[in-house]
Amino acid sequence: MPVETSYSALRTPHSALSMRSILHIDMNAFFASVEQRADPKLRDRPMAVGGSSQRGIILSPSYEARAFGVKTGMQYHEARKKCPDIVLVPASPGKYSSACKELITIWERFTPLVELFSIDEAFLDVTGCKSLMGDPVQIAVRLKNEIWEIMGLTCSVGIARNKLLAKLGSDMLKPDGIVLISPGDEEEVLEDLPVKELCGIGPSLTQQLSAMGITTCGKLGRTPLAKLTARFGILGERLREMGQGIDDDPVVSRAEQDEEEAKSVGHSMTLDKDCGDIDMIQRHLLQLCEKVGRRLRRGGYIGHTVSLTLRYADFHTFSRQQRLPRPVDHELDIFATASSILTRISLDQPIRLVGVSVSGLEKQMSQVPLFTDERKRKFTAEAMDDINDRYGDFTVTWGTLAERYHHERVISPAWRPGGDREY
Amino acid sequence: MKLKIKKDEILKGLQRIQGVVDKKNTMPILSNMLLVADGKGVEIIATDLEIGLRGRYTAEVEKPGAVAVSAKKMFEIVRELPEEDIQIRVDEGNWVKIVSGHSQFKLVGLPKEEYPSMPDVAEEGMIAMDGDTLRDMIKKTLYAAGENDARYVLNGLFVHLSPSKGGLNIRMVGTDGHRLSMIDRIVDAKHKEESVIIPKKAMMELRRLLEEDSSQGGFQIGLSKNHALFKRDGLVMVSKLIDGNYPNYQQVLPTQNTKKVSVSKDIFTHAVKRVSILSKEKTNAVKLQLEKDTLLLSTNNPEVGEANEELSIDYKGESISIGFNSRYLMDVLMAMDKETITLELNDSLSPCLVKEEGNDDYKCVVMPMRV
Repeated sequence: MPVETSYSALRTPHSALSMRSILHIDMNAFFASVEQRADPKLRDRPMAVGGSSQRGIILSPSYEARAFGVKTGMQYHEARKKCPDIVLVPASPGKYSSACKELITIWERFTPLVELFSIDEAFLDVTGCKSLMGDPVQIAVRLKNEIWEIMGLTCSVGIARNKLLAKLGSDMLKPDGIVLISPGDEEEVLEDLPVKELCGIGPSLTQQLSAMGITTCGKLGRTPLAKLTARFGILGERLREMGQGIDDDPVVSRAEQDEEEAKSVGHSMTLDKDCGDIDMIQRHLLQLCEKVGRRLRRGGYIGHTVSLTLRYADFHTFSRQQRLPRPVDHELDIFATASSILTRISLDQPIRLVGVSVSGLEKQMSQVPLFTDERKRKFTAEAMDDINDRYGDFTVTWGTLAERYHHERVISPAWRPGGDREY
Repeated sequence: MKLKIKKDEILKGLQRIQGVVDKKNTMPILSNMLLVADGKGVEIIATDLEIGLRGRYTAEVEKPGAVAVSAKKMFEIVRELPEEDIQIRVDEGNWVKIVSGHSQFKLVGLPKEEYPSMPDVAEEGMIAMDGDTLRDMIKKTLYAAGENDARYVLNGLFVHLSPSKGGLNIRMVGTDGHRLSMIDRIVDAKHKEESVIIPKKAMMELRRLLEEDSSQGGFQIGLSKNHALFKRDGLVMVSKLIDGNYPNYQQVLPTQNTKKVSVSKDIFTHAVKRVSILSKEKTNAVKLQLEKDTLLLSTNNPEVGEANEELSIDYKGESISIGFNSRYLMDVLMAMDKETITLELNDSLSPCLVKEEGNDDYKCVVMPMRV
């Protein structure tokens, strides 16, 4: 929902949505490139950044490694089979986070409307900059040059009239490309494009669509609305628009996001596969609660309300919340509440996504509790935070979570740099 | 019902029950009080179902009877009446008529049967306590008790009775999980060992009754399974007890704190008051630094400014820096009576013990905060 802020003057009026110029910037092999930049020995050779556990997976292979067929998500041994000389470097989130901060500084020189989409991706709304800096392609060239000159990193830029198509564009030419999808080309681009290429259409949706005979965006856009809504509910409408390349979602600046986010602290995760097993969901929940607790503590917040968000396999999403008499910042308190909410819900379908958030925030007084058990709990949580801040998420965690530690592809939004989001 | 009563007499009774009468309006009848006239005078009774207060007052009763009537309106009316002599009459339909001089009031009343009755507590094994001791013990502990805490046992005072050499040791403990206050007093009485938790509201009302007039003497205290009873001539207060286990307060009383300092209560109080003017609003944090022969107090609020104050003390121990919520410190200082107090510290994250100098029967613990 657009928020009325001082940025509203920069925002394109609704009537002119189709005239927007949105850039999607996708940093190429970001983690690997940052490591190569930091250590000359890693340059120009196949290397990859991986998770830190023994049975780790590849998080980010360099382009040299990609040439051997090494891909994100591969296990170490698979990667070594493809490329025996590969150098594996453990991930150091702090490094990527500070690189991301540098990037933001550069991007925000072009426009304040920078929406960080992930640690290495952002949307920029440059609609208002055109008279100052030329057409979007010229802006993209300047932007790429600055990133290269200042940071020695390359990126791919997609340019289009909305976020959906801009994101599609940046994916089309990697590495180091600029792709403009102008309104006249949209139909042609989408016609034979497999639906899974669209951001927001995951494997399970792809499968469901293909079962309906819908494989390409062109087909999706032409599918009668009634057919889609019968299957997917409200989402059906959105899917059809996606197939037609329509997307009115605004670029939400970081200042606006902060405003929204400061009111609550939350995390969500899409599960590897849809899951109906309560015990398993509880475990994911604990993991999320740990992250939420940690982020609350880092920001010095305590919150009164715990919300649980669930998304069914069919994308039906809902939230339930509970207000607590005493504000909390400890994962076990958050978990106890979220978990009791969960047990009161009868699940109609397997769960696709779980989210937990704490709102009703207030600044925590750094008061040390009197009772020994509470003090121990507080100090333990703080010690865990210190270790996890230094050595990475879940270095120390709850026993219940230990066995699913290798679920590493979930990159904590803790990387988000700047302001209150830095925790 | 028909009676004559002096304004001061009935006003005393009406004043006493104002704190008891339920203000949350959960049940409309609870905003009322019960007025009972019999051969011996009148009784004014109020309850919020947790606490009940019954007082007897002198009156000339012409015709006995009873009625429930708004406690607040009665109080407001009587307070403003012009003459010393007041006549109260209850007519058919429970109309309560109040006449004084040329003023007349008619209040809607309810039949006495609708008013909840006070629990009957057997008056056995009563312990006599003098008013000053009881008031002092409550004053010195109640400030630390919790307020609407989810850990409901903390919203009361823990009272522990144990036979001791000189009679009966009475211990009261209050804590809200950030600070704790504990006092022991020995009274001349016999009672088996017993612990109860008495709700904060009951203790507050009891304290008010004790502060009314010290010449009235103390209370007889009785405990039953679910209630505490406080009784003196013409006045009875009954309170429900909080059912639950009080936390292990002894475990958190520091015994090994080696950094000890004595300081004048007045000088320290004023210094805390002064520097806390510039403490951060939400945290009220004040930093204390103990160094050789000095105690430094400071606050720092980036948005407003900073304050420093240095006190000369006699201290030869290790330096330590520790933060406190100044409100917690002030509460402790207000509860202390001796001129000199002692602070006993260990490290910046451990409990601080505050005592009146030379008095081991009264201990306050304040937890620090990070500054």
